[in-house]
Amino acid sequence: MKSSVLTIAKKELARFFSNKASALIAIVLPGLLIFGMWSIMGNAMSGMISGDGTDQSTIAVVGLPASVEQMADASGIDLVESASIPSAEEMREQIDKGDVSAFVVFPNGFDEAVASYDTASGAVAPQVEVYYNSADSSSSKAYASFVALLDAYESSLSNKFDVNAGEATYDVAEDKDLAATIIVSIVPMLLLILLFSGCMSVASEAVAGEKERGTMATMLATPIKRSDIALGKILALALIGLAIAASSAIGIFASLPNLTQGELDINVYGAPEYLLLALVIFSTTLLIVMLITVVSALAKTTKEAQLYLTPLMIVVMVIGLLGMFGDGAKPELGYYFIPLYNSVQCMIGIFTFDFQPAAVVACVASNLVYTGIGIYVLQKMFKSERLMFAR
Amino acid sequence: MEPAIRAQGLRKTYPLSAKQRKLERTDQRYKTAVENLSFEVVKGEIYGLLGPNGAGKTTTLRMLAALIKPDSGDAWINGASIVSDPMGVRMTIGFLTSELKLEEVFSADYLFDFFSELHHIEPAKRDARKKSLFARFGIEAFAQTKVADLSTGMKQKVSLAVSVAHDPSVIIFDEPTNGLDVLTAKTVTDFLLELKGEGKTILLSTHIFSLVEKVCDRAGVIIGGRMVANGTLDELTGDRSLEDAFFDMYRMTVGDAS
Repeated sequence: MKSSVLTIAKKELARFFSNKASALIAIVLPGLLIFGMWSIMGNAMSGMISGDGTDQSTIAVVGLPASVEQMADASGIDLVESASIPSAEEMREQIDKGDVSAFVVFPNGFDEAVASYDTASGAVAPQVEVYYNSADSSSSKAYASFVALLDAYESSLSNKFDVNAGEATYDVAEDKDLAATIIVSIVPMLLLILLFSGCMSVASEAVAGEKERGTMATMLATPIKRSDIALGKILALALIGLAIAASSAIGIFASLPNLTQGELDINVYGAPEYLLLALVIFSTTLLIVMLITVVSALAKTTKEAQLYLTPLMIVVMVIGLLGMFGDGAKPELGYYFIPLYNSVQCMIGIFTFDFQPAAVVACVASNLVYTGIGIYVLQKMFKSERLMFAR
Repeated sequence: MEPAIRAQGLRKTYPLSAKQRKLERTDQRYKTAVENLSFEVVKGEIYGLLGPNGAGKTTTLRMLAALIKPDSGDAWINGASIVSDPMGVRMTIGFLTSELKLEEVFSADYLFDFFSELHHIEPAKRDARKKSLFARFGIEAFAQTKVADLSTGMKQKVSLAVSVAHDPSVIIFDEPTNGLDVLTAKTVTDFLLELKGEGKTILLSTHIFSLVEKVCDRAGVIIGGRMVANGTLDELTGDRSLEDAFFDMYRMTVGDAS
């Protein structure tokens, strides 16, 4: 590689790393943020679904029948017998304090009334009243648990057949199928967005920022080819972009098990899948860096560059979102030549273990060709007086 | 005497955007910045391009520094054509503007090395040149300080040192003292005279009459993109001051200056 290209690239990297804190934020923060955010989200969702055992609710029951008491014992629902129910105001107070989560009133002789009730008679069925506070999450949960218990009891009274009551594993999905379902719906979009947003500020600073500060003209007055300046800048930006991509990918994959609370084992993917994924991410990063740099070169200031880049970011987000829909990777090879969409499809194929080697080759090769074309265009732009000296 | 700089019939136009046309109240799609400009700068002299803002001085210097291409005409710097050999031109010149901006995150030391590398200066030669220039401007004391933390005067000293890092024989200065305080401006004018003493050829643009009177051997008056007068200061002024002579020329070319 020409020494002048390396000189420019080294200068760009030195500028980027001159502020250690901002460099660290640009590279490490996306991955770290995803890891932290998803870990917290995973814990929170797990707590919402299963509870953490510390908020075991108590339900006060008037006229507790033996049948319901047995079922509640088996289900781990804590019932306390009560002579009568308090007023609505007192109920709210007790629920607020956490003493009781719900109040239930059974009619006298509930079990006998149920046993003798004939559904065909048209008579009113025995009535059970469940009082709760829908504004209180613990009370709502207690209500839901108790109603589910009663539904189960009601079903058991007219039991004619059972579904999946045996010991067999009826869901034949493998771990890797579960992993693919979760990853395909999140990872391609998130990777594209993190990569684009991470590279956006760095690239616009390196090109439009340099024009804005007037330092570009200083460099253009030296005996160095303008195409070399463009090449040096894109080389440095590509290295920074790859570092951002690596950080984002590591953050995403490291936090997926936390997000799914152990439901997902990323070890279902082996070295070939990760290697192919790295190739796709590598070529996609180069393409994104090139796109951002070309758009930045059109702008006179970083602010203007950000303005131009916003619609492009929306396009990237939409392309990423498309990966969430559809049934697996597209089989037609033509899709793997569409910039960015090809990367999403390739990632889906790799994650679902349903990729065609030709599709991955088409994706990576076309990304590299588009990047090459973009670099050629960028070099032409650097030779344009109108773009380099516009005020 | 042999010219170090020879400009022949330079012409440069700029496209005007709709916004610019509205601002300038014109229907013209192009603005002529420089029209048929010809002049010579002899080796070892300081030549001043004097003119008001918007006269075409910066455009002329940018063409001579091979930053932009003329629509027609050509110029030669030490024999290298700005049209056919822009790289050769940039190898031989040093270019400095009052707007010359240096990356603020770097130190003077880093920038000197960086620009020397772009000029393909060998490390040993670079280090010797750096030592001498840093000593000349007293930069050693803040050589490792980021440009962002330097005063305007210090920044201008660093800019001067960086612009001549490769020891060019022709130096083009665009408004070198514009916006500087008197002390920093004196540093610049002293350096210009010092460079002349070393046999360098200097072309500078300015609208400051005193600078031309103090340092220039010859000058050209440029108004509306055209060279309206060109010669030694005596030839330009006659028995008037340079300022009076300039306004007479301005009135004859454009009309009443007030």
